[in-house]
Amino acid sequence: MMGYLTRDPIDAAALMRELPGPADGALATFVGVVRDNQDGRAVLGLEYEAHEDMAERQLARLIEEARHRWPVSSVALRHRLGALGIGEVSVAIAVAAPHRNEALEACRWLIDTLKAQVPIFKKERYADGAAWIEADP
Amino acid sequence: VQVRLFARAREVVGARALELEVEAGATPASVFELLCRRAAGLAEMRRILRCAVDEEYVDWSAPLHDGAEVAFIPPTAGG
Repeated sequence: MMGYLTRDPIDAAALMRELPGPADGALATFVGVVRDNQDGRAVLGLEYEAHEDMAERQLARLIEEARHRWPVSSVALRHRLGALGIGEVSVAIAVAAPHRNEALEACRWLIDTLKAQVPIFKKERYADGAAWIEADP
Repeated sequence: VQVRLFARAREVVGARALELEVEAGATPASVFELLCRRAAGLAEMRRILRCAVDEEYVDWSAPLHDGAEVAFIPPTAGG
């Protein structure tokens, strides 16, 4: 386990504080939080499940690839697993770089590619049941 | 081979992991067919599943080695 996945609450602010070094002029972040609705339906909470070993490997590879594609200094990423309530952080990504464009682009690419490729699955809980999300939102 | 299941596919089959004896020349597609005999509701999920062998996405026709881990990956929804 490399530790990108966690069952504990994610402290996004702590993740950001660790990153920028003295040569960095930009810190781009994406923080995903649990929303109380989807397609007009009230959502009570979420549950995330993963192929954990495969997801850890893929996340390590995505970060490696981002560092090749953009001149970024450091990347931090955490994704939550298990049951989450409304307003809890599901994912946090922070990218530090000398300049803003590469930090913003790398951060955007990381969250988009994570959603499309990394084997993490989501179940929504409603007042009257629950469903796995199996279509692109 | 070792089979790994997740999300709704795990619930439909009623197992996270199971071991299946397969013939030489087996592929993820043939393993999936075997699973569908155990859990009829699984077949309709085929069009939305991807497969991975030893933690890498592969084609449904990829050859399987002895002891391979075959994972059927539902639509990803992280983030």
